[in-house]
Amino acid sequence: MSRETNRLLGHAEENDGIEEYDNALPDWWLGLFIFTIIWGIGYAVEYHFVSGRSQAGYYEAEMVAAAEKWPESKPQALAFDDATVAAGKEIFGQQCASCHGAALTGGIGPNLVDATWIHGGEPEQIRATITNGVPEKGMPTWGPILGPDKIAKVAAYVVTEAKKGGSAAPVDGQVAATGGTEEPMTGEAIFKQNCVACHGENMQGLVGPSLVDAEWIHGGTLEDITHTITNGVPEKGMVSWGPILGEEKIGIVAKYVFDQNQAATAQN
Amino acid sequence: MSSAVATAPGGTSDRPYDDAIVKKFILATMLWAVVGMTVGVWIALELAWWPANMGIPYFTFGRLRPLHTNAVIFAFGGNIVFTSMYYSMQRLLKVRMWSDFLSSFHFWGWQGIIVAAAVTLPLGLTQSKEYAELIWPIDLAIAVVFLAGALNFAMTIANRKVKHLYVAIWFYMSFLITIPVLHVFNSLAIPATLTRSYPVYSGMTDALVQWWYGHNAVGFFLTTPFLGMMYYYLPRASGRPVFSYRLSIVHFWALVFLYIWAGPHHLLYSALPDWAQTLGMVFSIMLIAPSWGGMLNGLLTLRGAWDRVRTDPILKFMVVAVSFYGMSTFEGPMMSIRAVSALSHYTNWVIGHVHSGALGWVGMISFAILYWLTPRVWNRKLYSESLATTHFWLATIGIVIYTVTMWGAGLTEGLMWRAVDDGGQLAYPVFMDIVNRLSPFYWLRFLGGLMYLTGALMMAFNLIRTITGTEPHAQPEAVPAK
Ligand code: HEM
Ligand code: HEM
Repeated sequence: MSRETNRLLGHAEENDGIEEYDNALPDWWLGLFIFTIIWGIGYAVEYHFVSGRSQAGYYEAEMVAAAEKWPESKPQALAFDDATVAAGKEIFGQQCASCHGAALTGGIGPNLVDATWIHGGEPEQIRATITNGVPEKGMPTWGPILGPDKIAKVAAYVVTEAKKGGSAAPVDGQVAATGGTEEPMTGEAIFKQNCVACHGENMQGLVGPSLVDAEWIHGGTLEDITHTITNGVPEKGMVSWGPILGEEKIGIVAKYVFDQNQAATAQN
Repeated sequence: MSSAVATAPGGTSDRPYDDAIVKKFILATMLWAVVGMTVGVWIALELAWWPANMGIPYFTFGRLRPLHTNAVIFAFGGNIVFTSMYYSMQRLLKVRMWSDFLSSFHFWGWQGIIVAAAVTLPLGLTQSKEYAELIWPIDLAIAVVFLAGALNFAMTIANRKVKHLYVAIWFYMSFLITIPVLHVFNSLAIPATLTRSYPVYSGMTDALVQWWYGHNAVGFFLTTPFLGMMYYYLPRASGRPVFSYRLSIVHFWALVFLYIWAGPHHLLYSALPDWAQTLGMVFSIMLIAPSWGGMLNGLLTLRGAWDRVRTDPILKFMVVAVSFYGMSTFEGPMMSIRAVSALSHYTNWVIGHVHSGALGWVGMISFAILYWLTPRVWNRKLYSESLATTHFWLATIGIVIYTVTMWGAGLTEGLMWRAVDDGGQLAYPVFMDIVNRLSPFYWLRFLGGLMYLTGALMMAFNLIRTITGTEPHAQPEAVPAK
């Protein structure tokens, strides 16, 4: 600030009494300004043209570094020794019990020790369901949260408990070779497994509409019903059952619903 | 010469300065300061203790938060800016406002818009663009009322009785010109019903326009008019000449040119192209010196008046305001650096930064001006100087608590989000665990905010007693040093 003159400019008359000094720009201020401009240009040139950095490049580099540091372990087979199951139990208590209940009997999420599995009851299917979650119904994708190790433990625990409850596929310390319990194929059984939670024990309607009154929102012919079940009404919460149940089971359950409705409406 | 201006209305005998409009804006400023900060303290409590929303949808955090931001920025901030402009422009241009009708229309229109905002936001009517939430009919009203006010100011400048335009007016003009441009382009939307509309932009374009607007709302609503206010009221209150005329001109042009480009620093590590992110970052770094030019000119103007800073609460408020301006305009550019943003973005650090600018700079300079102006326009002695000093200390300690706790909270969550364990898994996979850790910080922030609000209530009391008092304002005007 060597160049301070403290000379008044004589603007006070026009500035409502405010005077101004004719001082030069402080050297260090000017230096700072010029430095930031040069740095800014330098940074931009370096980033884009010299080292060709980019956001995508950083992401890829980080992924490569992570893969090196934490190599993808081959999915180990599920182990069912006491220590593993006990560790799994602890994880279950922390993360899962709030929805599936401390006794695994269900709550917000479904019962894990009854006879039915929505996404498959084989140990590997259970592990996959935990890893990938069912986000559309509120089950979190636990893979990135817990990691494969903890998931293997908690899956072992769930399978063990389910077996006690008689619902899991047979386990011989390893993945069962063939499908689990015989899948129910009557319309009533399919309905009980998949539909009662929303449409009620007696189809009287709960979260979803009644299926035994004379009113159909999306059409009441067998064809309409099959169509509605297959595609669902996602915007209202009705699941698209097509990919879950498959054509054959949908045919059976649609016929069942249609018949029950006919019977109920005929009575009135 | 200048002492006559301060106590008796100046101007010509047939067209004296219009101080009635200044009085109206002062009263509105005090009202909205108290409302806006009360809502701020309320939502601060909701973050610490959610039952404070009383289970009533209108009072939930998501609806009160935009009410807070709109009330403090556009109601409190807007009214103090207009207060300061109506008083200082007439005196700097030596002429009464061009149109009394437009002054009055501007005042009532602006208050009407604020009331409309205070009704619609709790009802959940919003366009969900930050700081531009208001629905399209209100947006239209803002454009009309703001432009009416701007026209009045422009015509007053055109009819001025002086040749030289003081630097404060340059800053005011940048506000009058830029804000309507930002507001109109960011709010472009196609109305569907009276309360609903569809923005004309989508995706990344929408985000870019939004933050071009958002950052320049900071730049041209919370910065340039307030710098203009500093350039008028700080020399007036201290009686000192402005340190450097040249610095004021150079930092003005540098500031307005650079600010406009810096918006993308809100979109680092997003889908915005890399080059645009770089642009936002480097223009932010280049903003340090132009911003500090304002701080320097303020602090160096006070040379020779430091003994008075020790006793005069108005100068105390100004020194802290200018210092926080310097602090937040250094912190902001640091947060614009990619690597820093990676940590600070989405955390409470941003909230701390916002409030060191908002409470420290905007709030404190506004309080100083209110304490300086109210006794002058009403010609009444300030009711209690010691109460004003108490306000100063409460506010200063409140800001420090607010910003320090938000840095703590921001660093805590930022570091916990990114932490990984030995196996490469997230160390804190459950988000709620991190949120729960923030609780003590939230409580302390509530305390800091409460102190700041208490100070503002003291000021409202003090100024109302001043207005209703009987003793005339008799402080001799400080004569500028020769
Ligand atoms: C009594 C004083 C105040 C308190 C207690 C307070 C409290 C708060 C709280 C709790 C939030 C929400 C933070 C979050 O979402 O995590 C907030 C946001 C905000 N406040 Fe304040 N506030 C106060 C005064 C002010 C003032 C005077 C201004 C401006 C002049 C201001 C400007 C803002 C802005 C711009 C935001 C949004 C920040 C963002 O989105 O990053 N506040 N305030
Ligand atoms: C040179 C000056 C400044 C620069 C470069 C700057 C930069 C930044 C950056 C990088 C962010 C964080 C964006 C994010 O990570 O989300 C931010 C947020 C913010 N700053 Fe500044 N800042 C400056 C000065 C100020 C001042 C003086 C104020 C207040 C008077 C202010 C008010 C805000 C507000 C309100 C936000 C929050 C925006 C949001 O809602 O996300 N800034 N600023």
